[in-house]
Amino acid sequence: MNRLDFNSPKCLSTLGSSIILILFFLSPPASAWTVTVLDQNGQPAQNAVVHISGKDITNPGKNIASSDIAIMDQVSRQYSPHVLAIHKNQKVSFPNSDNVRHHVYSFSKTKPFEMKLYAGTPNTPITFENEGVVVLGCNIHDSMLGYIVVYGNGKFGVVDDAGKIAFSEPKKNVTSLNVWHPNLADKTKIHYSGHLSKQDNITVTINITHPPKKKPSKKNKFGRFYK
Amino acid sequence: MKLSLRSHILLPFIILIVVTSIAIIGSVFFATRNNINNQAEEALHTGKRIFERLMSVRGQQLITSSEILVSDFGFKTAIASEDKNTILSALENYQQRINVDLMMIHNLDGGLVSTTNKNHPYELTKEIIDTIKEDGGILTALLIKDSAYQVAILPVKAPTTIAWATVGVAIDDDFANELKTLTNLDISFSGNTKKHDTNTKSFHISTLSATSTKQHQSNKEMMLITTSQKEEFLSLPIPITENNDFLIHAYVFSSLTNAHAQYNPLKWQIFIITMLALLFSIIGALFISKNISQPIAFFVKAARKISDGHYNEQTSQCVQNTQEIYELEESFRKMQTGIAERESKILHQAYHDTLTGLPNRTQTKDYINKLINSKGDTEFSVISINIIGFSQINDTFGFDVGDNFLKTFAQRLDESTGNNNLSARLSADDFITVMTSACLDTIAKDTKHLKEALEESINISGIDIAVSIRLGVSLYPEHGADAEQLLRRSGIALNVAESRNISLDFYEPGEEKEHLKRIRLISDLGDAIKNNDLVMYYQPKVDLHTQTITQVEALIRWIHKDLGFIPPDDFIGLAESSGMMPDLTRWVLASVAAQAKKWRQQKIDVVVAINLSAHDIAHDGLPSFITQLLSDHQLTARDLMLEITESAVMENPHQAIQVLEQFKSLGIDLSIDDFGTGYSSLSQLKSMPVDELKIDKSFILNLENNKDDQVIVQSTIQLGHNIGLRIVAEGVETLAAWHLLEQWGCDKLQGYFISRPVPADDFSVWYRHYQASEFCQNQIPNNLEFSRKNNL
Repeated sequence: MNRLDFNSPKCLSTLGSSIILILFFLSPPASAWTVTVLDQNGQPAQNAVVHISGKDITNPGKNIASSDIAIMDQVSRQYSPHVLAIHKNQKVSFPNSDNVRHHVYSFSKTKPFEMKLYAGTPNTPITFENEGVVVLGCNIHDSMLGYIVVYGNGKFGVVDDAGKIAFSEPKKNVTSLNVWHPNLADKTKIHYSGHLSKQDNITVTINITHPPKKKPSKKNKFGRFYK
Repeated sequence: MKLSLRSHILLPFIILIVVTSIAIIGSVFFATRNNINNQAEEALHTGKRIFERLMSVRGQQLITSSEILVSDFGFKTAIASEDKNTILSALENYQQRINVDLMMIHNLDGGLVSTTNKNHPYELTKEIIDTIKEDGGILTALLIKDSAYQVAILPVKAPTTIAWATVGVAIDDDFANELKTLTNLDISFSGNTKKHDTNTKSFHISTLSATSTKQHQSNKEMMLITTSQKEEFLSLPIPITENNDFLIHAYVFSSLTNAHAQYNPLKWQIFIITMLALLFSIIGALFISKNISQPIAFFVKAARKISDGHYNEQTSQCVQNTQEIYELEESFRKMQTGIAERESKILHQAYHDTLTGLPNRTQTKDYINKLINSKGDTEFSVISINIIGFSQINDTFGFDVGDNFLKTFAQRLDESTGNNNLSARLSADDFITVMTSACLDTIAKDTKHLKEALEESINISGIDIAVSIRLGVSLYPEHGADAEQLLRRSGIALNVAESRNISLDFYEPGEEKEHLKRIRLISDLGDAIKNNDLVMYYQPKVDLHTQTITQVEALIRWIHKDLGFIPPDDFIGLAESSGMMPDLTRWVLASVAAQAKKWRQQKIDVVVAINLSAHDIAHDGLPSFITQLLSDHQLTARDLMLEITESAVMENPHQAIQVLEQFKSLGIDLSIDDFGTGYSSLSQLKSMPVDELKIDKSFILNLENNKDDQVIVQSTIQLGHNIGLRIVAEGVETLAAWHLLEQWGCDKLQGYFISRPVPADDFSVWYRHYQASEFCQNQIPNNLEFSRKNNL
């Protein structure tokens, strides 16, 4: 399994991606298989998170080291990565790579927090104690949007640009497979259980809503005043 | 029905004005009505645009405020807190801050989280949510129970959508009033729910005071509305919102009643102007028609007067004096005087003779009738006057002199008859005078005086012309009962005078009958000549030297089919006066020639003597006619003889002798008939180319008893023989006369003793019998007897 398959090139230089690499190298690299997530149009569903679980699939959450800090960077007034999948109780650092200040906040019940206007890397990373999805915003930049998905067990990862993710755990150990995507039409996880296909590559198709590609100008925004 | 002129003029005027007025009022009415409607519609459309603009501005304000609101971090925090009290207090706080009427927070499913309008919870429909999701927000109107709000609904993003925030302003009376102030139009809003069970109006506000209205669809977008106060409005509905649950409309109203009211003064003005125009036009038309009809009435009256014959009445001056009427009036006057003049001229001509200026026959008749009809015992005489030989005056001196002669004569006549009497000219030279107070005793004297007065010679252009007149007189009442009769009878008297060649004759009763008979005979004579109703009788003459019949005299006889035998003396004169003599003479000549030819063939060798009248002698063509006749019948001049009366020769001896010379040169023997009754001198007798003298029977009839006759006859015989003429005696009726004449040496005898005139066939029989018998004195009575038996 090539690590380039795993992570976006963007993340390679980050500390977080190193940790994931280490994780994968620790596990026996026996029979690797991939999950491909496609949208309803057959296109790779980028930013999809695939999560598998089973009795023999280790949950490293309890053992996560305090130094295992995931990074949610802010580059060019965007959260980077757009979607970050972490273990429960894992810490996430929110460095600011832009030359402007950001006011990062979350009103999600999983982890409400607020980091008032700051620049550079804050001293204290934030620990996400609960499983769930945390939506990140910036109070002064409405267009900034980021997601942190917190899992309590199993293995998971964000698919690459081709919509693929590879798992090394034997298939027979996998009892459930979940797919999440920020734009899922019904806003719930796609859950697969039971026997997985014996084939090496599993393809999952999800329904996502694409936000309007071209945003209407503000004048037309309320154009439906008179029907 | 005939309309008066005034009505004729007035009626079109009034009709024209009324029609024009109605057209003007109608067109103004329709124009204003259309204008009002158009203005109302325009105002409504303007109102609509203003309304829309206002709604849009309000919407933009709402959007702006609500965008700021949902971007507010504190607000987001409050929403995210999910604490209802906190959220509500936050809403109330913001509602106050941005001065809106409604704020609501809904969760993502549309469920109401919090609202400032606690009494009427409202949940967002999926329709709205989907729209917001798609468009990022919505500006719309909501119907919440009995209220309506213009709202902006936006997502609350933190940063993903966590709730729907609604910010709204009420659509209320204040808003309506504001709109009304801006647009000057009444406005109303109404909202209806679309639930199945009820379609009732749950929301209604209006600036109209009226409560109940009645709607009519006016056109596709407008509505005509009548309020309970009878006020009319034109209304334009403006849809504000329509979705699955409800619909909200705004209506703008424009009062037609008010708009019409604005035009009412104008309408009244036009109506009053029209009425004034109508009034003045009628007055004007009346004035004009009066100005025209009054002179016409005047002229009608004048024309009526003229037609009634009052030409000379000067009609009063016409009132109107326009140029045309003035000219017409002048023409009328001229016409009036012209007609009067012409009529008097015509009347004068009708009653007067144009040449002499004397009254004519018509006036004479009128005058006579007037005299007859006048009361009292009127007596008067009607005297017909004829100028003898007037045609000769004309022929000799020319018509100008003739006319002047007549004028002078007429003047003289008029003067001599006096004022009380009337003189008239009937024809060329026929005049008449009516003399009143004439009784038979004085009339003869008066007439004589008149005749003497008139017969003075007339000098014309230095020529003295002798006047000779003839008078015929009839008297009233003796000779006639009316003018026509009196005139005719005086004319008959004149004719009688003319035929008798006397200068004065009084009408005698019976003359008219005679006159009428003559007239009848004249007309019948022409037919008789044509139809051979005339016959020739022949009377033999005995030659005493040979005792044989050598001559017969042809005598004409007319047996009229009604009147019987007509004596030749009666109808010969008629033939002469009526111009039939040439025809008659030719008929006689032809008839005799034919008979002479027949006798030649029968070997009856007699010379036939024919009587010629004075008229015949005057006729130039007779000698050539006789020549032709003789050759036609293979006769010689010796077979004919012509007898001419002494008086006929003496009428115009010179011409008679010329004609007689012509006959003589043909070789025809000539005889002077009725010798001894005329006035021929012995020298004339000597110069006449005759062979024979016939002593008139008046000397013979009583010869044996009258010594004077015996002397005359014996002398005449001797005289005739001495100048070489044979002597014939006619009217021999006795043997004694015969013996005397024979004794005196008379050459031929003619008379009843020998034979009456008899028809040609009888003469033939008589002739043979006579010739066969040897003449002796004893046989004569037998002959006489025979001849009498065969006479008519």
